[in-house]
Amino acid sequence: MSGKNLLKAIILGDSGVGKTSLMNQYVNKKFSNQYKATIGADFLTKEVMVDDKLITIQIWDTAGQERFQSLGVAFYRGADCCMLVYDVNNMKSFETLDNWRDEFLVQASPKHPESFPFIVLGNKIDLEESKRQISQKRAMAWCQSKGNIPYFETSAKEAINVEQAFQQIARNALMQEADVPEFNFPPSVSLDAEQKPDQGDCNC
Amino acid sequence: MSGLLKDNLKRKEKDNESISSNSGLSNVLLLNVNNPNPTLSITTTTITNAIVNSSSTSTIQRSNSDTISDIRGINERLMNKSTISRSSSKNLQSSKLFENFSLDNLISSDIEIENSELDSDNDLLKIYNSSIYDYDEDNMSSYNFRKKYGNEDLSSSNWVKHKKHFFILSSAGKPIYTRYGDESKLSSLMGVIQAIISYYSTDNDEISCINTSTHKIVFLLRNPLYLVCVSQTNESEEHLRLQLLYLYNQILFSLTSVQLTKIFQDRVNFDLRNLLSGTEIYMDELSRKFSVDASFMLKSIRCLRLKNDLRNTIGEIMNNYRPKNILYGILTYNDKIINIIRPKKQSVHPLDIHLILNMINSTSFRSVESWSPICLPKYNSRGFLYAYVSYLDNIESQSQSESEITSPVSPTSPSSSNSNMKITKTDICLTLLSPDKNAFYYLSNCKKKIEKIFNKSSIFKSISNQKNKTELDISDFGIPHLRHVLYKSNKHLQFVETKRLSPYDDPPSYRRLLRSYKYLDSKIHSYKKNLKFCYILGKNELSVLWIKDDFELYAAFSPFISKTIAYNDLLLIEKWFKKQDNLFITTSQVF
Repeated sequence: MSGKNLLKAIILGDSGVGKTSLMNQYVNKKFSNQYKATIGADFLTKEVMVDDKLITIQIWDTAGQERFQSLGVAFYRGADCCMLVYDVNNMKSFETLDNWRDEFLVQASPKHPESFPFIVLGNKIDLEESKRQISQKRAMAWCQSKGNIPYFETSAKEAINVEQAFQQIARNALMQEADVPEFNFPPSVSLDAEQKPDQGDCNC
Repeated sequence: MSGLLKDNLKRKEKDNESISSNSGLSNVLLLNVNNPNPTLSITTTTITNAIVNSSSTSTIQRSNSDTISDIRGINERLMNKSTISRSSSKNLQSSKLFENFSLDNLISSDIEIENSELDSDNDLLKIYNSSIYDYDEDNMSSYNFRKKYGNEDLSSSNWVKHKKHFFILSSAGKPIYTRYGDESKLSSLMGVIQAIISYYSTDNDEISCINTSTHKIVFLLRNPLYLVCVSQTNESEEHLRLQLLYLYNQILFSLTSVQLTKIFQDRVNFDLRNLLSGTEIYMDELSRKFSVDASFMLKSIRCLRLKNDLRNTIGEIMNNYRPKNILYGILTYNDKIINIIRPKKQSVHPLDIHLILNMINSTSFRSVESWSPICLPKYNSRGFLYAYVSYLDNIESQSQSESEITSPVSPTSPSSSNSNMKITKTDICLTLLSPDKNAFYYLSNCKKKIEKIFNKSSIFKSISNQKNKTELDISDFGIPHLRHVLYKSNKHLQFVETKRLSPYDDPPSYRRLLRSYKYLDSKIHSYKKNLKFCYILGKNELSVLWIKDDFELYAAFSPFISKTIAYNDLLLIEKWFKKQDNLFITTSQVF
């Protein structure tokens, strides 16, 4: 692939798992403990080098809360990759990953759902071990069962694995991009076709 | 306040009628005038509902304005400000935010409305004086355009100030084109635009326009593309939408509708920029010309003023020596048409001709014969034609022109192989459109024949002899306080205008004049009764528009004369035009 590259990356997951924080850590290298729910969606852009290519990642950070899920089908259209985020200290947020993934596939309806580039992030690993509810093993087993989705354990707070995770998903998305649709030259027009009279034509 | 609201609503109602909203729901936007820092809210509810909402004094109407407040959140973080802290509505109003870009800047207003009971005449004048006259869009030459603004982005203060932005994005929200700045750096904004459009499409509704007191945001949704214009030029929604349509047609011009649809069917996430690279110049030029060329608003063809028999002779030569199997043969002089030949059963669409003229004049075709696939969206958006474009040579034998050899003939091409000939490139350009992709050499030969006959019959000389008369001159009318005239024939869909003399000889003044014409046009057409005559008195001129079945006549007078005098003068001007036979292509050259 040559020329300009732009990837649309969608971040999904329950509210409060740290989607916005991950994005902010990645783009702005900043973290705050204060929680602010995302309303609708947030957008950030980051330029990144992947294998010597300059890629623009257009990050679509969505609201986890259901009452803001009103952006519609069109919103997910044409996504290049999707990040599923859960909180390793919150069992429910892990259990709903299935729903998020299914929902995404229904709404975005990618051409090849089985090979669509997902990535799973278990966030908030900076919290003490005793709080942890989902083991790495269990998460990886789930990823395996969904067609070997890459799995990262991250901390938006301490910037652990954030860069790596985005790098990985960009690379995977680019691999999908490799089969460029060929430009079929459409046929020339036939001059014989009788033309329907159109208003606003010049009589010259 | 209530009076203003009523006015507002009246305007909305009118707008809604003309926009032809897709469903019964109307997207109403209201200004909260009670608030010193007015905020806007989009509601998808009915107008009555909107009245209820607007009368509340809360700055943000949560219930119905999720989208806009969402975007506030979005932009706040986009601006890398108060990254995590929950923004209160007070923060949102902070002037800090206003300094930087955010959608707020684009849609909110900082103009105070002093008097809600403005009578309509004053209102009209006020709008005119404040917005139209202050228009200061930079006059850029086409080639340094990209370089000049290319590094601007959301955070540069200059970017926000541009009077008219055009954005094109895919329905997935991926950037395709921006008039100013680098589109990939604007991809967050493109996401916001997609989110707004998507929000309405869930109800099977389509957002068409957001009006604020300073900006108009106009949407043209042509799946798989979304086109958006953010304008503070005071042009009407219809004019802006027409401009978006031109940009859309420009994309079809390069791709065809078949190809465009297929690409996005195969891959909805496709990045169209790579396929369009090289054609940005056409979009840039169109965007610029919308403000300085009346052809686009008039949807008609600009003709070179030429004696009728000379024009017909030229047409006959083109027709007699035309290649087989062509759609159109077009002869142009700079941005003006000399003549067109066409098959009997095909007509010529001004919108297509404008795209062809834009191509010829945006790129340097002077030194080469050019061959490129193009699609004419109005003629047939589904397939390509092949355009042969070449400027014609004026060939003189050396002996004749020896006396002139010392005089500087600027565009001389020294490529003549024959030492007895002197070949000069003219400003006259021949375009031939063929459906056959292998016809280049054939068309090139036909051009040589036509060129030869033109030279034999001294066509170029005849045209250049007329040179000082090829433009309409204001002195032709003999009316001292008359400054500019533009006459469109509705029958021919062609128009002429007078030479741009002082005070319209510099681009900003001319843009301002054109803007007043556009304003008249939108007023006269939005009026329910069959309005014939419309005028506007500004501090710079009295501009008038007179419409009849067969013509539209625009004119600008000195601001110190009365409209009665102007009206009488218009009658004289019209009579004058009726007598002319050298303005338009009146005899169709068909085959």
